[in-house]
Amino acid sequence: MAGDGLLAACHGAMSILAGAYNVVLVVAHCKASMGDPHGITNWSYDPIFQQPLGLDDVATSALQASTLSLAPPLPCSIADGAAAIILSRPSSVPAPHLIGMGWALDEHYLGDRDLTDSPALREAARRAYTLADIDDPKRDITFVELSDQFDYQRKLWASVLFGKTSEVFETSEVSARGVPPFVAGLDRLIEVVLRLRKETGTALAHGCWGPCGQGQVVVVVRR
Amino acid sequence: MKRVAVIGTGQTKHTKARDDVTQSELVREATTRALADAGITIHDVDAVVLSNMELFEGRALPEMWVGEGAGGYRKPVMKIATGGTSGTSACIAGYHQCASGLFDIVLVVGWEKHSEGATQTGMALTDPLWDRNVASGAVGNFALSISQYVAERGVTPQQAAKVAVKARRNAARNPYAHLQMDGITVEKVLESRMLADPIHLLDMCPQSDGACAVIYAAEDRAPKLCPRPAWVRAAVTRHDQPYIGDLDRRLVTMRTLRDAAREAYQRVGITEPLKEIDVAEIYEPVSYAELAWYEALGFCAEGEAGRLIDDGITEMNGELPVNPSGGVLSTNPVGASGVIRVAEAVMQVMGRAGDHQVPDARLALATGYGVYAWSDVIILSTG
Repeated sequence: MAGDGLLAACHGAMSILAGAYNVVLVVAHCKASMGDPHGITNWSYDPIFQQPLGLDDVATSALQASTLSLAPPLPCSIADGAAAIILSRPSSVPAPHLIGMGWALDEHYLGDRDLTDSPALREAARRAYTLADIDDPKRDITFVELSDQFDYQRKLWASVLFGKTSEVFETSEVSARGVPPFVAGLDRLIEVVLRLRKETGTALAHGCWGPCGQGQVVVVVRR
Repeated sequence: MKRVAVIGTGQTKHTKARDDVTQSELVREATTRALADAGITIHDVDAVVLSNMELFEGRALPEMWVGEGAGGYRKPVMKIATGGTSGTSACIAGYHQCASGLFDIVLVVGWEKHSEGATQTGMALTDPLWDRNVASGAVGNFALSISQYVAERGVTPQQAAKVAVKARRNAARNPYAHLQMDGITVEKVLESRMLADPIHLLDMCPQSDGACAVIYAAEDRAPKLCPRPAWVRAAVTRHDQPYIGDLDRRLVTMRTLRDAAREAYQRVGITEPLKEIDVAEIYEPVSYAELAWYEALGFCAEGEAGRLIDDGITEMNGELPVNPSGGVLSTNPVGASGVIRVAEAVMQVMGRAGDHQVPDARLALATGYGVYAWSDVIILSTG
């Protein structure tokens, strides 16, 4: 499956809900050191208009940061890594429960997008909140883990999810920076699950992929 | 868990090179036709699943660009790639999305535009330590497996050629099929260029440009939207270990297909597949493979596949017509090929297969085959 591993977790959960499987192992991996992790992103832009401009994730993130009036972005270091989770049909085991999930794609052409916003993230969160029966995320969500492959992104995603004045994202203890792309979102889910093993609450895990976070995925977990 | 049915299908005319459209436009064509066939608009679609092997075109994250062609703008879009099984894997994913209760209507679109890439190069991008050094693409890989199958089961080049002829003659009645060779004969197949013994050029599938879409609806929506929906009765997948050397007798036994079929038959209650199934659309990348699949799918006993084709059992007028569409041997845009199998099976069950319709088809089988001998089996029926 393409995209962030957190999306694969959604797929695994749906397969369980569909009655196809009882237990699903979800694995995300990326060995960025084998290739040119920034150069390859040029090939994710449409080949007619955007790819010939030489765009890659660093260039377009700089564009996004400048629209936010921020300093040039710092990409996270190149990393190799993998992450895995095991999903099971609800059982008597007091494990955190996946109670909401949503994902969406934004427009592809950067000229069509307001890069200071992320309607796809808002849509992904709306779907997850609906399933999780969350009316007021600021009130109902205890802590969040956001994917930030560039330094400015954490603040942007948090403002889209909870408003510019929100401090919810500050409760995130572990940054995804340094976790490979496509692994980061699943790694966020692992982080919230580990924390929910120690305390009760409702947590949000976030993943994104593609140009300026064109793909967005949100999972809500509760214990 | 909800029951799920397919309510519409759409595909492009498959051909060697669609220079007139981009990948996104190709996908839009199939999507538009599927929406029209289902009698709905893109606004009715809750989620989209895409299938494409971007290694063949040398792209990365193609859903970023092509997702809009499938109407995926701000919708939940997911892209699947599992080799040749990509299309059936996407169909199973779409089915799960609908059956999970999360979405009411799910669009699945598969596409490939081989003319824009280098398929053989893409196929060499396997495990870099061992397989890449001996990567011989589909032809060399199959020659190895087929030689073992022929040695053990005794099928002949003539019997394989009959499969190739059956496919292309069926394709002549399918306006969307790529290869149109209604004058093909067994002699012409055997006289065609040898690619890798025992595979002749006309034993192999082509590389096509094309896209195909199917639309699922959950149980409470399907009967209202479609007078004769094709209900999904079973969807089973089996993967195997990747290393060629670890998969001894893989075409001989094809254990993934055998096991997936057994589970699917059990779920539906099929005990005699040859008699009970009305039509099959199976993913046969090479003529010999179709014979091996007959055995793995339980259409006949082991070693009996040659007799099945000799006796015309799987011809259009036989007991179990296999690949009325012309199959992968006539049309092969890889990311779409599995979706085409499902769409064609659906069209048969809906009675919408036109000149290649099997009369009164009610129970249909579709399969997917992927590199490393992965298999998907999907069974659809009128009720």
